[in-house]
Amino acid sequence: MEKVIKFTKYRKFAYMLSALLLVSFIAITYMRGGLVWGIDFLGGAKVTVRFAKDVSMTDIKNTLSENEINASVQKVGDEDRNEYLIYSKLLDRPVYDFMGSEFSGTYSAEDLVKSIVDDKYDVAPPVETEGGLNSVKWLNDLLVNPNFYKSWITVKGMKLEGDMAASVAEIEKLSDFSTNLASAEKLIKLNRSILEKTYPDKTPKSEVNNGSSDRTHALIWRIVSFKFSGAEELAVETVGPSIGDYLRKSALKLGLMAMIMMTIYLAFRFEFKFSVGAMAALLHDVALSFFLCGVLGLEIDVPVIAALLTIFGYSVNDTIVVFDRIRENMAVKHSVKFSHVVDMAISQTLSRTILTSATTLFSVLAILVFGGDTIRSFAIVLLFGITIGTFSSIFVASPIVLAYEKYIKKNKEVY
Amino acid sequence: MKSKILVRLFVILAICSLCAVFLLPTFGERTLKVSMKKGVSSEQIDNLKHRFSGKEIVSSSDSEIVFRGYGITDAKMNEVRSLPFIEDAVFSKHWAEKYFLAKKINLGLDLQGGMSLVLEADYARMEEKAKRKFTDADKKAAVEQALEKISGRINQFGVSETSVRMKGVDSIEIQLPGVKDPKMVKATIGTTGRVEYRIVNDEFSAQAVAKLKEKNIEIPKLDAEQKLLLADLSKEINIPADMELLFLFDRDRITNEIIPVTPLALVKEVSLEGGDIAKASVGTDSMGRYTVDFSLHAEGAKKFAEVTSKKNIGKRLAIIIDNMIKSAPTIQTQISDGRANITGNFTFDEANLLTKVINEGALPVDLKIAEERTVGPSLGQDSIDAGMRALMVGACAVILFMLIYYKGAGVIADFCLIINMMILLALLSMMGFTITLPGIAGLILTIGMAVDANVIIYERIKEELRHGKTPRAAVDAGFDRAFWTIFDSNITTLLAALILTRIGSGPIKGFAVTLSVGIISSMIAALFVSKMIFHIIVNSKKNMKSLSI
Repeated sequence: MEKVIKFTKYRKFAYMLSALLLVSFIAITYMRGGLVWGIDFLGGAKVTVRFAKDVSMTDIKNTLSENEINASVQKVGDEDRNEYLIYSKLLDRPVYDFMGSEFSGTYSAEDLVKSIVDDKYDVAPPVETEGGLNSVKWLNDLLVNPNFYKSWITVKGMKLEGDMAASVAEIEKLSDFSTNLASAEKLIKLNRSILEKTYPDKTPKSEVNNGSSDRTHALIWRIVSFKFSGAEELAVETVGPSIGDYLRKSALKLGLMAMIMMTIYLAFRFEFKFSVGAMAALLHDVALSFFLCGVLGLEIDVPVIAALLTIFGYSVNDTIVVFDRIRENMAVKHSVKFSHVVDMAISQTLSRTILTSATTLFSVLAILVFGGDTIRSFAIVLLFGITIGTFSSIFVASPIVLAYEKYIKKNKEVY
Repeated sequence: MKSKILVRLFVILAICSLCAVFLLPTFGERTLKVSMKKGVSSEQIDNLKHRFSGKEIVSSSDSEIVFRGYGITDAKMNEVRSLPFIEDAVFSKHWAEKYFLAKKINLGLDLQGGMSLVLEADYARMEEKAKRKFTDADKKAAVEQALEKISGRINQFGVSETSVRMKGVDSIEIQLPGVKDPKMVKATIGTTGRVEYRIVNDEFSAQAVAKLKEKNIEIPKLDAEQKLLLADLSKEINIPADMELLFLFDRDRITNEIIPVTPLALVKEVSLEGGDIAKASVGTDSMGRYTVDFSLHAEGAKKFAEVTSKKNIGKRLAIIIDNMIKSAPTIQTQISDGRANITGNFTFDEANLLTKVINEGALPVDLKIAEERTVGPSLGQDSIDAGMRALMVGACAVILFMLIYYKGAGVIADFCLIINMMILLALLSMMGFTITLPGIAGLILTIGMAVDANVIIYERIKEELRHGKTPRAAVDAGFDRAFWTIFDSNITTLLAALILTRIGSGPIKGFAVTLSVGIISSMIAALFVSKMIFHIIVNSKKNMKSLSI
């Protein structure tokens, strides 16, 4: 006689464990500030940069935050290579049009700043164009703009009050326009407020590229290439906000459609109660894996969605092996209680359930260790999802079928 | 009995060798022909050879080197192509491609390097012109037309295996593997390419210039502010309704930038437009500056003769591209031969670009870049290496596990796994599939899941053996009983995977396709191939006593 473990007896314990896990996952997620959606969903820019010299992650982060850009920095590639992934959500501060335009000038930024401050704006001295000068392109671009001088001079000559006067005073104090984009940007903002004064009713708000992905990239790259000479862009990804919305909707819609199809198939090949069990287990696995991202602070991007969708398919695959055995046992043993049939089926297929998960976990581990940085989050989510899927195949799916069966029977007795 | 076994063996071998042939263009020895630009230095040649160290050099001359070897990827080709002294690099066709219609598995942009753009249509200008809201059918028609034009523009870059296709109703997705100059591509795609010839009204132009002088402001740099300024000026000089102000643009001597220099008043009536132009080409004027020369259609020539006729002589004719006046020469004589040109202080590249764009015609709808992904070829090669390493390690781990756990039967499972992978890759290559890094992850995952079917069968056989059945009966029962288990579980997963192939994201799509094909091929491998082998073994010995499982 084969050994039958009474899995269904522990089902309340298993439900509690699952519920506890889910609740604590959600709680931790919200304590950590909610789910982190990647730029694939929110829109933004992702730049992979190879630096010429040794730099540290904090160096890059600090440079960007000095310029009021809150970007994430991640080391990628081999240890000995200075390659970093820098990514930022769409910057919601306006990035002015001059940022995008290309310019090759022959002025040094420092000289020009000096000439503005000294009021000698018409005699900007030309300097040699060298490699390093390339990095101050954006500043030149700003400074040679005649409109800019004009407003700066006007500002200095105007009797200003309140905020404007304060910002002029603040800007006057800043000496290094050349290395700090934020202070240069303050100048532009001022320039714009002057323009807005000139055209009071017609502030050109809509035409300013407010946080477009292209500009976000331009801004990051300008600052990075400016501060770290010899930096090289290896890859760029920019995503507008509309794309993410579309992706999220289509993932949800298709996920739902897949669930309906699977429900119908299972109801057709087995019985409806098995559909209920399988779908419950599926939602259990996907929900837990989803909130695992929140717990670990993993960014939800396209690979993570792919992992969640895989768990989607895999969870059911695993569960059906048990269901199939229940179906087989039911056909043979009519007299036995349903809960015993379920226990027997789970026990008989236990080695199968564990072995199939084990082989799959081997390959996921290989992806995790050797697959590179881009699909690491994919592997982490999958690793957890498959493990939890194995648990749910044993402790969630079949007990739910049993519970549903009991519920139906009870209702029948009443009516 | 013996002959039946032989037939089965033959079938398995045939499948294997067919798959192997199909995989040769992807994994076999490849030949890359690299042609170099004139005046390449010996250092540069050494640099090139260094990149292919360990590969055989088939032939070598001043202008061309041919390399042959394993593991020369498309990423490598793109890397070489992007070197400044390289003219082009192309793979020679593999014999399996020539004689057996085999195809290579294409690498996605994340693996071979390249640029992918999603352009979103902006109907505002069109709707304003048509004075009505667009229906979905209108939008679709406009985007389809734009798509055709964009394809034409992209073909000019000479990049092979590009893809331009619709994405949803109002987006276009463009994929350019191994593109040399992403900026140029974006500039070309971003231009609407609208060309117009319109007569200048000197009286109002002079008024506008005077007004601007009076205001004593410089022309602003931002597009929006320029528009505001023009609107202000138009109001102040009371411009008639049939005219409008636009800026004449020129190159700044110092900054080398194209900037607005002066406002001009133009009649709104368009004398000649892009559609009247038969062909544009780059030329030079008497001062050696680059120009864009046109020849006009018969009707265009008639229109042009009319415009330049006596009534307009002495007036200026403005040439407007994308709402910027490029030049405004004075009409001196009637031009009736249907030839004209634009002088706009162009660099060669700009003139060349404009020529191409004009030849393709204007875009029917404005497009803006919604998404961009650019991957350098060296990063692509890194991803290939990482993916292949993970694939090898994953496969080895699974193979070893099956050997240790199932011993003799493990050998069969491993054999099936290898056949499964060959079938899978052959199917993918026949489908002309493009593999991405998530796709490789899907492959690795398939390895882990493929042996699942074997595990289910083997565990069942073990169970039947425990019940005291003979090996032959146990094998039969095992396969019979496991068939529907495997069928049902895989079909359900396949259902999910197939629906996911319809998802709107390229990488997920690739992943779902790999998974779907993987499920099918692993079912074939487990249910038919491994069954065949088991039957051969069980039937080869009469009265078999035990099974290594």
